[in-house]
Amino acid sequence: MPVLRVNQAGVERSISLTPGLSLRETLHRANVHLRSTCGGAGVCGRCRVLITYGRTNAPTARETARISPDDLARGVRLACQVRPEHDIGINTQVRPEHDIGINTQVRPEHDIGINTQVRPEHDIGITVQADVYPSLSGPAGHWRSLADDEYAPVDISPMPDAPPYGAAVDIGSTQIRVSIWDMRSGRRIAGRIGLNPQSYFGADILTRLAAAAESPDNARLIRMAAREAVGEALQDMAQAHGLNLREVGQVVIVGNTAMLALLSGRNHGLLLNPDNWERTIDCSPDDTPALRELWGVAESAIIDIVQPVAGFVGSDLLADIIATKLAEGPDSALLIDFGTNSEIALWDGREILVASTAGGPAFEGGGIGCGMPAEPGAIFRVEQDEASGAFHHETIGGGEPEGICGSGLVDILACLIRSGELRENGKFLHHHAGGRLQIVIGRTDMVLTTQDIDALQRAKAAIAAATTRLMKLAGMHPEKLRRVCVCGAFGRYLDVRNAQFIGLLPGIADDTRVEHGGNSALAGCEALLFASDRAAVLRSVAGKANHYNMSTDTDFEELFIDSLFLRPMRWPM
Amino acid sequence: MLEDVITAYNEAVFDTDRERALKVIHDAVDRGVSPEDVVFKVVIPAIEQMIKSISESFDANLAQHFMTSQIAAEVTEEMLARFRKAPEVVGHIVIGTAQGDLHSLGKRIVIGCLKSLMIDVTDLGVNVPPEKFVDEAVARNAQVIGISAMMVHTARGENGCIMVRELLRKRGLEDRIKIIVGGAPYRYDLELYKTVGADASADDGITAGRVIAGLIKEVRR
Repeated sequence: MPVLRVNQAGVERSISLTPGLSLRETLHRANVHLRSTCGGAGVCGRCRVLITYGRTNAPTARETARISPDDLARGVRLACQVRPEHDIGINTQVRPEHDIGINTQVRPEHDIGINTQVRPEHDIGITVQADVYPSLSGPAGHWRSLADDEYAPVDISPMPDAPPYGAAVDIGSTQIRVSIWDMRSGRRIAGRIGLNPQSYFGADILTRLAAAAESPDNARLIRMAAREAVGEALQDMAQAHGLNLREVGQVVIVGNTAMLALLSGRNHGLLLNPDNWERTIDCSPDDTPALRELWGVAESAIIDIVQPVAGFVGSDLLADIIATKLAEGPDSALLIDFGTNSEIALWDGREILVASTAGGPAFEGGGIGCGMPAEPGAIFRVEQDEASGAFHHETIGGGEPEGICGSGLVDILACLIRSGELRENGKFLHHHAGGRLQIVIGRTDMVLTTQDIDALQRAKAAIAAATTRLMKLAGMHPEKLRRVCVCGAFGRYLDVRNAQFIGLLPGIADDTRVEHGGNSALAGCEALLFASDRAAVLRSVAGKANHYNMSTDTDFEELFIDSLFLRPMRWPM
Repeated sequence: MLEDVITAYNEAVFDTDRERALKVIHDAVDRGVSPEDVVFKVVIPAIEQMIKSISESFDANLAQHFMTSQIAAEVTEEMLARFRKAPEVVGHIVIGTAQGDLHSLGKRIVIGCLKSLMIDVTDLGVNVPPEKFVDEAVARNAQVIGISAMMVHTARGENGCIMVRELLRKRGLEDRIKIIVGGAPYRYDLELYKTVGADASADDGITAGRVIAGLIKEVRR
């Protein structure tokens, strides 16, 4: 049987090749997860690999549509389109000899690094560029402890009569967060964050839902991927803290509608039909005993999937609203939970206007060549020295940079537009140079392409257009906002001025409070875990919320196109 | 004078500066350039140039595509209203997105291009049931049905092009009405349009205009 040799971070191992499987599928089975946003359909062009020697199937039409002739000639391929029949070797880490620092020189060459570890004894060797999730290569065993400052504040009162432990779960399209609590003392024992392994089936939720609709088998795989991921996180915490999961008496779960439907395994097919995008989808599981058994929690444990609002607006937004106390005072407040499926809530003192907008995973680092989630190793802040033009960056955790997360990308866009290197319409000034801006930082080769800018423009436009639309519906001028809450991992590090400069956030009055909610959906879920009457708490929030469906809103479409420009939001638009 | 207008318009479009593009056109019309010349000698060549550069580049920026098409559509609409005599229409198409698909931006670009190419367009909107495509095409004497689908499951789905073809066949309309499809899935799988029973597909609005003109000729023969 032919063998695939994988060199990942200097560690080599061999995997048997199953004829017929794509390189991407083979790597996935071996827990090497190439970045992709299309679920392996050959559409997103992200799972690029470089074949350095040997032969395999000829490039498919999808590859010729995505890879330039020069790159194809060099052996660049899409892993989802390559079906190797012979021995191959791959290296997932490239270490080009570059200095640390950002280089803004526009480089006409290609964004593929050179593998210095070619193994001539094998038939085929490929070099994987930085398109492998560097630090989050889940699904198994890649759970990271949430640091103390990653938790959003949460008000809870101990429950002396409850079963010993309880768990809160926030299932995001890109990341899953889980925490375990000592219910009787009201103390958080541990928290974990990890990649949602369903990403393999598509980064955006519609691709993932369509994958689940393809066959019952696929739906089961997607359902089990998330269920097992939550189970692993629970196990990981139980082992680290000597807990008996059988003493977990409650698990409360929030997420967007698609994530909850896929987790429960029910009604996710309904979400593919736009006729259902204004109704509430029932996401309660009908196999709770199986969930209890899989997670190893108490046989009598209450497993509560908090039901979504309507359309794609899920219970994660309700949790955000609860955690931030958004709708509890007279102060008008805007909340944006940035994600693959961004959710927006606007409190005008009377009603909460809510909407979701599928801008794609760009701000979570998805679909961006040098992008990564806001995780250790991510460049989260970039500044440009006005005099010298030199860039300075900060990395989460302070270590060697492995990629750039959303807030870093926002900073870079703002810097490039200020310096005039990028136009408001997303064109590089040096358009003759192949449209690639090289940002070499440390060991990984980081390049920002016009396609990356495009993805960021569209993600930004979707969020800005939905925000503006809700503001208009409420008849509210942004300067009247008293609070702005930016939630999600991305929001935690976001430079508000830069976000306003590119029009991602509205211009607000100087004394408006900007709150970086961080993992506020998890915090809201934790608050629900300790609520003595959960249903009542949820009713009080959901009762004030009105869902506005952006996908059938023609004003939204106009605003979307206008918001593609990287410039401050104009008002009135 | 027309040369200057073309240069100024192209520069504005390159910068995707809507206000400037409109000003260039308004100034030109004020100075005596005919609305016909604006459409045929300024706007259409600019769209063709844009599409050429997009199809030749692997770094195409969809955002810019949206922005420039928006400008072209706006200018064309305005100029068509000012044509000295009603423009001679090539034919009629009803267009919409497949059932289950709400992605309207691609369709919007195509409609702008088709109008500038003198094809009469009825926009059926998004999430259009197959019956509606056929009923509207018959009611409006359209020679072509255009179906846009941006997702694989709507491009391949049974209630999209496949059902429209089935309905045309059942009602004996296949000689009178042709089907053209468009959207990302058809670009990545060049044979897909045949699989779902369409007569043609096109990658962009300008190509669509040419292909549709051909289909209309076929029907009228």
